[in-house]
Amino acid sequence: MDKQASVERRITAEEVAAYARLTGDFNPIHLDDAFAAGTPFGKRILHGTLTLTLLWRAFAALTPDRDLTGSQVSLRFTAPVGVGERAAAAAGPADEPGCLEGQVTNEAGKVAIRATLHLPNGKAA
Amino acid sequence: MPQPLIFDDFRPGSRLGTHRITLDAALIAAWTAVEPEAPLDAEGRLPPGLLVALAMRGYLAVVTPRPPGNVHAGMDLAFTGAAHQGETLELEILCLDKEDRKGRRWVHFGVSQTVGARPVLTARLTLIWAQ
Repeated sequence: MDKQASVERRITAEEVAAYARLTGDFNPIHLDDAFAAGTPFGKRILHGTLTLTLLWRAFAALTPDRDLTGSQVSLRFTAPVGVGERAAAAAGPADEPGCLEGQVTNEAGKVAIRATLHLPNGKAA
Repeated sequence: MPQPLIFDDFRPGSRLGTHRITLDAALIAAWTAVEPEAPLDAEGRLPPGLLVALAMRGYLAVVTPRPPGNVHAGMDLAFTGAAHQGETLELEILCLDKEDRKGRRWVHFGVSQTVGARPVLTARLTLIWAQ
């Protein structure tokens, strides 16, 4: 299968606040403009696992019945995505058979997440 | 006020605690407010993004207080079974390993999610610990 999937999304401040309530992660780097302005990022950034939702959408588009049971995912967070900024995910087959690879890039074009999905036997990518 | 956990506090192989989450309608609604395009499927199974969010919730509830400035560097995930609305998710949080490399303090945590005897998700979280 040579299919590719791509997703774009701007995750809003309201969605960030909702994710903080869901996970209990109220780190001010995600929620407080004044605090975030004093960090090396200079602005509020998304929770890494919230940014990851873009990649789940892209992987789901390439996965039969969207079920990941039996799958393994290895991922690295490599750059932040600012709150309200455009982020884009792209995924497609990896060189290794039975695997997908994907990444999320931030508005500046930097790779924010890089991931490999190993599908279980019988779910060919 | 308790002092934040520091690198020296962690013992590789130690069990740090457990956390329990009821997968009720309010939780599903909270998820939908975050990610409207990944709801439960026709069989009521939780999507991967929500399982990962709940792994973070378990880790954050148990490994506390944390120092400011930690960096979440990566995750390794194994999806082993389904969790459904109406069930109760049990989470166990472990310190898997830690290492000091060139002055950077890396800590690896394990989060195992089960519903009863059914394994659902195993997550290995990699953090750069600030203190």
